[in-house]
Amino acid sequence: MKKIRHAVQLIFAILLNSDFFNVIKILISGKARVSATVMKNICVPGLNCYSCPSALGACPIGALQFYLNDVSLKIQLKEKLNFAGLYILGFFGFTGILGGRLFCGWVCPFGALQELINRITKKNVTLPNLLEKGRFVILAVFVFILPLFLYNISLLSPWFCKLICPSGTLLAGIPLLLIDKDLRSSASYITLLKFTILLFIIISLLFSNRFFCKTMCPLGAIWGIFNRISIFNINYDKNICISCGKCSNKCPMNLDVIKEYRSSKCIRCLECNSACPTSSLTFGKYKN
Amino acid sequence: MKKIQYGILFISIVFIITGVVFGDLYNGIFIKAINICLECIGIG
Repeated sequence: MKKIRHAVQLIFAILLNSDFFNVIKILISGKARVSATVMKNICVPGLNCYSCPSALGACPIGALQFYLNDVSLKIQLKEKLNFAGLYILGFFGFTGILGGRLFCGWVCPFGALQELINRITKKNVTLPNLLEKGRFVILAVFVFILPLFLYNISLLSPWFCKLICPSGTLLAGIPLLLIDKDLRSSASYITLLKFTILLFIIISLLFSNRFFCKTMCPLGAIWGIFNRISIFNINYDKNICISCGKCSNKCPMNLDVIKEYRSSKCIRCLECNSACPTSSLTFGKYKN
Repeated sequence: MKKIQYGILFISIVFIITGVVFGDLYNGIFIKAINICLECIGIG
């Protein structure tokens, strides 16, 4: 199962970042630019920064913040609201109700990258529960409240992208700053802050697998809400379970699987399903 | 549970269709993606 999942993650990482022509154009011109195809109107199921030179689609968390900025702007200007926000809400609802955090485990390129970094040490320390609640605070404050209320009419203010998002720093910031010297000269204290956060996350990943997913990811927080009710879900048959604990030992999110198999922390990687010797844990249509 | 699940699925599909048909995806949300999102890369 692990090999299949890694293959799927790799395929999606390539598919979501396959505008290689744009990368070649940037390398030749030395000027930063992003892929500008019609695909940018489509949200992708993963934290994949749309400023990444090869990114085809739009990050749903970025899109949500820009939409809330747009709502704020329209209210200030007393203009009619844009219905495009319904598309983003629908995207979260549709993907969430289908599989909950399934996309975290199988699609998200930044999740795959975290697993790759963690393979250096293969350590996986259990984090305090309070720290793991951090993703809901980040979702509420940096994705909803600040973009909606702390908004300057002359500047867009996607606060999560601006101050935190390590995917943007790694996949877009580093390559574009390396290539474009004009951009490098514009670097400020915010650049330093974002690089520090990225470094902190990379170091933390050496001690705890999927550290960012566990503690900070707002996309995982949204999808996690659907984990209990998603149509495709993890089902547990306690009648055939022998309580061997193999499922919990394999869980990258450090869950006590038997008690928390539908917890908002579960990324549906299905490692527990493969580890279970009696098939008491299965993935399929929701069963009570 | 089934009613809740399929209810959310139905509403989500309606939202997506309404957003695509009546919303202005390009100018409302994604215009920033076409230019460089300086905020995303830590400049803005």
